[in-house]
Amino acid sequence: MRILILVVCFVAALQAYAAERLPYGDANALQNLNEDEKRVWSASVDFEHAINSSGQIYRSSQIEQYMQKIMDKLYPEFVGVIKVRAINSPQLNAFAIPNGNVYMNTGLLVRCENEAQLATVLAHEGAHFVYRHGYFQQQSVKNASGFATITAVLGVPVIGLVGGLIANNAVYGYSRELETEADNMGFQRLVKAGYDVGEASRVFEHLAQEVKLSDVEEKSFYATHPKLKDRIENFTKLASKVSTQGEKNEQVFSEVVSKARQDDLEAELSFGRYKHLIAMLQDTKTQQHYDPTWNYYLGEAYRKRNEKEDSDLAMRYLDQAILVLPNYAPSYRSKGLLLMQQTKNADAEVLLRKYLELSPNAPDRSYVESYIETLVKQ
Amino acid sequence: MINKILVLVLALLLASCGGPFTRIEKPEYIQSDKGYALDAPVGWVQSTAPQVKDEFLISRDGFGLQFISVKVVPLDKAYSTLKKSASVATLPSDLAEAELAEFKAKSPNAPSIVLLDNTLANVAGKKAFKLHLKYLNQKGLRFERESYGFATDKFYYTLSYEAPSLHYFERDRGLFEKMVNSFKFKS
Repeated sequence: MRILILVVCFVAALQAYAAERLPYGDANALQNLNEDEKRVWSASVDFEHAINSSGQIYRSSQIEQYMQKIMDKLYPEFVGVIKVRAINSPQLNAFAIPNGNVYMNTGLLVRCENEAQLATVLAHEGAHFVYRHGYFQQQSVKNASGFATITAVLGVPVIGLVGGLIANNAVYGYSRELETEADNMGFQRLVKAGYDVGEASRVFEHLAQEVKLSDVEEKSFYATHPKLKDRIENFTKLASKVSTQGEKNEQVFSEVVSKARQDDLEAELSFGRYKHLIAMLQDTKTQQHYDPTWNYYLGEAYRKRNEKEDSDLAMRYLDQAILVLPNYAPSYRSKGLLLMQQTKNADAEVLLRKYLELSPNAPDRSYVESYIETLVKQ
Repeated sequence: MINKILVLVLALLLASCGGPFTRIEKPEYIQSDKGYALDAPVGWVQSTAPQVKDEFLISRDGFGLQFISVKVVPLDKAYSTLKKSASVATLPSDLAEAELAEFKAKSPNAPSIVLLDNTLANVAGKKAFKLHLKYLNQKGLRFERESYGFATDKFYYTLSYEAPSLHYFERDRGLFEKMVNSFKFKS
């Protein structure tokens, strides 16, 4: 009898858990939120406003519309609810907040090689919303002590525990269980939308490279995530069970993100991410995604990183940049500074003068004129 | 006995309310071990908190609102977040770009940072960079930052001033410039 009571209780608990863990069926389900979930939703709206007014949004209606179109294709029953925006940051990240707003950093966007890879990220983030992960995470976390540093990471004001949790999820992701669920559910959406699912694991390869280059311990930075290696294997396994004949849409993707790709090169340099820039542009396939100025960016990244043999490599790519784009001023500046550091003064002077000739209103004119003056004196 | 203990506890509590600050009473500030001296504004307060031991950090209205900082670090710790060092041979424009990258890497709201000016300057006879930028803080308030920087054969020096654009920045900017002009090397 006692065993029977225990079994009945266990089954009842399982049913309650299953009922509690139900995803939103469609946009209408949002009309019947419980009080707790309404509170999470309200904090999400505050959080959304804070991000939108923080100056972090990458302003491109073309990219926004494109990402939105993909999201609507993946989650047609949530059109008008899940909204996608890009954040102007070279770091590789994307996150969903519980009211259906999805944010993707331009760094991750341009690291994608085609629409199928972009759709993988969007499908994953959309699943976090549809499966109510923000709400469940909030329900399961009892200890609020870990949120003091979150605003410092994300740069928006966060009010109260719920706001802190939303920010926490945005930066560090969800629990291992919820991330795995988002991977698997997102994968099903990719299949249904007709994308080439063979591309899905590539996204995690980009993330794995970011972890390696950023000197961050995967176990701490992605503490709550399944290990990236496991995720790559999971996606490869899932993809092996279905046809990979779906859409990649590489051409249209490249056209839409071409300006963001160029902007990202500048951002990588200005954030001092020289290692990332070098790793990215050394890849011959990636080079084809950029206009010929990539030669300058690669050369400048080598010059700035300034490790053993970097000056030779910098020279090689800067020479190539001057050859293919003879009127592109920054290449002359960069090569001039490199030669100046190697005390090849006469050649350096010629190049720096050429830079000012091509770019008479250069913002760094005061520096370059002073360098020329020094070179002439020597 | 109990009264004595209470008085002692109260005295300790009151002493702890003072905070790690001292008022600047005379203008000349000398940092012999870092090899410099300068004139600081009398009446401002200096932070003596242990976490700013490498820094001369002063404020008039509160450190969260506006401050002037003079930071001197060994060359191999010039850009700690980027894990990059500076050298006496590093060109001022390269120092400026690395300083900006370091500021972005440390900033919680890097995308809001806008570079307003980046020019060559002179501090105590040394070629230095002068950066002027603006950014939004975590509450969406617009701040401005002006900084000078240069490297010697031992140290990387940065003199910076930060305050909200509204009212504060222009008010004390002249004072900061005066302080930079008073900077001299002192062994």
